[in-house]
Amino acid sequence: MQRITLLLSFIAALFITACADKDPVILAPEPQLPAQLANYENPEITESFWIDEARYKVTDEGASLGRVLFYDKILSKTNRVSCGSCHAQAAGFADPVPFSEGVNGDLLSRHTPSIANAYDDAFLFWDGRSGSLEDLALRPVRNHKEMGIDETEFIIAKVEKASYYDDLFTAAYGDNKVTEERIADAMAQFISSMISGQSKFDKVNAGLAQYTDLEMMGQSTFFGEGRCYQCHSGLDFNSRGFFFGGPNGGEWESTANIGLDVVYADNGAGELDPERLGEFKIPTLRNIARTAPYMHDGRFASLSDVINHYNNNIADHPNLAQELRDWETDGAIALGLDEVQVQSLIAFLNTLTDEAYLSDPKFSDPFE
Amino acid sequence: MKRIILISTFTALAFVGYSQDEDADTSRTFKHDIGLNAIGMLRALFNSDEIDAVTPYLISYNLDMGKTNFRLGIGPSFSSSTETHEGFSDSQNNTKIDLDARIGLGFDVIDQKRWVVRTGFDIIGGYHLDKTVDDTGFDKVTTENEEWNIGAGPFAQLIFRINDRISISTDAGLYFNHFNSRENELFENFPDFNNELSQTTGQKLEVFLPTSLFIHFHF
Repeated sequence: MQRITLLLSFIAALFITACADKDPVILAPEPQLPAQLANYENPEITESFWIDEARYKVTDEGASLGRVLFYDKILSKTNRVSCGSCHAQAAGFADPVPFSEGVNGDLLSRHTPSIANAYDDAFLFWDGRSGSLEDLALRPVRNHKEMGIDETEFIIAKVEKASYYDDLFTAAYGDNKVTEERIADAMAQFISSMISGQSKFDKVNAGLAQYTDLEMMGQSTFFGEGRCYQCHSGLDFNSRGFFFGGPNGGEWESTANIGLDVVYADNGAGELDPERLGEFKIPTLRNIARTAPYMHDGRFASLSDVINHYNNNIADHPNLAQELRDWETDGAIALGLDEVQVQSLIAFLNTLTDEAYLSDPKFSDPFE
Repeated sequence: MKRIILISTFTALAFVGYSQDEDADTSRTFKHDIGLNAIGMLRALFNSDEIDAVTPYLISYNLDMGKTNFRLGIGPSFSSSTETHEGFSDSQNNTKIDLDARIGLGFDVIDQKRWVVRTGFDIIGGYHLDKTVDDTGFDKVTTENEEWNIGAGPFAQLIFRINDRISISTDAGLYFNHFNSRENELFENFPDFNNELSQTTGQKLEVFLPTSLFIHFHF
């Protein structure tokens, strides 16, 4: 009788165990963060570089949280890709392939743009469809090809499930409540904190370094015969801050049709405004030597390919930027730079590389 | 490329057939035959997806009942692969199952010493599953694409007898198919967000062009 009781108890225990709800097993890696918060609030910059403090809204705690979110693969449907999977630090936060691979292994339709000094950018993505970093932050997460989570509740549930976010949210916002706005804000803070202002170009401007003869010649070509500065203007060489009045308070004139094709397979800003067919955002040239391949479709593998386009391959698209038209004939120009000028231009563009930015641990992947 | 291989194989086999002793007894003394899809074999041999298996059936069986023939075809395919990534409990498993079958009756409309033209009617069915499980430790995500179909339609088959033991054939078919497909996403740790991405039910006409090549062994 005792044995039967024992056996029945054992079977009952097994049955109860089997019927009990199983807690999900979470074995995800945790981020390795510094014991002391990194300095995001006051980025190191060269004297000649300046930050519009009124628009730079970054806290160390917010950007630290944003860094983890930026690199956290749980923000994708299959937990395989993060923002940082395509925005690689060593490549100027661009992707060294023409088209990045999304969550399902499908190639994305546009080249991953680089990131630098975007804190005051109100014209985001290649077509300028987003007017703020807060708006930008969750768009790739929701995009079915990029990260593939289109339900806000699902994003929040996943972040809540990862225990390491409790302290990070509490530090940034006073409590551990996870909301869509907080996720977007923290990611926007991290992206804002990505300040690249210690390149040789900046150091030369601050009197801390000198150009070589070739770089000096390249600078002259850039601002002169090469006409580069007509579009790539301003502190970040992207024309930002000069023309306002576009959608979302952005700057329409930050786009240009540069005559890549006579008929564009991708209409760029023309998808939003038919009058802007073939226009794409004028990208920053900061770290340009490291962000190959170039253009919205990554068609040019090298800087010499890009310059060669302007040198003799500009297509006479009806919407071609005025800066690329001949004043007399109104046709597409051909720069006609010689080989020395091309090489000097490349040498000058190389001075825009900020090695400190590209290797700064505070921008690196905390999960590695 | 595929067509060249097909035509070359067909020509070579025909040549071999005509080279046989013309006095050989080619009268049909065997009731059964088993057919193997040569395109499928070539694919396996050259490990090339460029050679399309235009018919899904890998093996066929035929029962000769005089002018009438009963035929069966089956095309099973199973593959499973697991990719392990560096990192923390990180793997991706993909399973593919394809099962196609047909059953039909054929009638010989031309029956010569070497050539036979046969027409008839098939009933076909199929089941296809493509399942991927992503396990990253944080969650196990299953994506399933499942489809089944059932249909029917006429077929025409051209047979060339090499000798009384071996023949080759190709066939064409026009099938009216009813199908149902669905795509699901399942999240083991987040079941509230399980998602039926799509479910489609419909009909389609499917044409099998005579680009298949079966080798039949009679017994």
